[in-house]
Amino acid sequence: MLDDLHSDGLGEGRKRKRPGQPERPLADREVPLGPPRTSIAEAVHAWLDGDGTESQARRSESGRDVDFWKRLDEDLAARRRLRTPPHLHAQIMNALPMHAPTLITPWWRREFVITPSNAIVVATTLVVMAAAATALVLRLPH
Amino acid sequence: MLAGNRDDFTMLITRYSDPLYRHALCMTGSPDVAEDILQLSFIKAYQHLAEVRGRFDAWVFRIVANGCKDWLKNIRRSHLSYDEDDQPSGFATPEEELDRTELRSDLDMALSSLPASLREAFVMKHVEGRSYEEMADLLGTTVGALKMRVHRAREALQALLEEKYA
Repeated sequence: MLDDLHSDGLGEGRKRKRPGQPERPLADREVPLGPPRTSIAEAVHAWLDGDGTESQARRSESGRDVDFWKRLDEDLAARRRLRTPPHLHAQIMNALPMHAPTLITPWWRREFVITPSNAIVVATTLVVMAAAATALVLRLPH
Repeated sequence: MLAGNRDDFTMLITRYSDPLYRHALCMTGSPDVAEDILQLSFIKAYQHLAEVRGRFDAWVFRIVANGCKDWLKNIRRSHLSYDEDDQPSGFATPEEELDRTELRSDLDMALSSLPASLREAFVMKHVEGRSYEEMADLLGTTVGALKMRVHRAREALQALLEEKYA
């Protein structure tokens, strides 16, 4: 957690944004600040992350935040129950090509497994080629 | 499976589509766009199945996540709400139903105002229910950076919505 959590300039002196608080028009700023933010106590973040209890989160005037997130979780819970529309599976299957294209891998990128029989074949080939080359060199007129 | 068997691929779609659909829907805010991204992502996955190294779910998640980010880059979207018909209500009275619809709409709007990286982190944490470690693995970044993104997203969402819902 070495990241600066407030590197956008909202950290120092940041105040809770509550109703009625005037806001400068975006055009007055040199750099847009992104979406507005409010501060949430660490205990509330921990509770939302599943690392703390609700009673811990409710301490230090955070009860309102806890109620807010419990309210929001009603909708998030509904979203968690969303299922893929039944027609979509069939739609995807109908759209698939009849055969998946086979991947043609160049021979130099193919995996080469050395088995005992492979090793014997390679060794024999090398010996035969070496013998043939030697014989050829010896027969050449000097 | 890697040979591109269509029947086997159906199993993969069935197994992994729900969390991917939730991700695409919450990132784009549009069921139609989410369906398109999911369909294109699975077709792409099928066509490149032989190239999969490691976990299929992580690989296909990255395809969907990149599809969402590309869409967000290219589109200045207007607000779209979910198709209510397919989803179970779970709320008793019409007033509660109205509240729920309003909250959903407001949260959609607030989410759409977040930068894509914050929205992605928030959705992965609060909608997909992933751990920070899992998120870091999928997005190729650190747990600390993701915590910061989620915290910032929460603070921004609360600033946008607390006047009405706190």
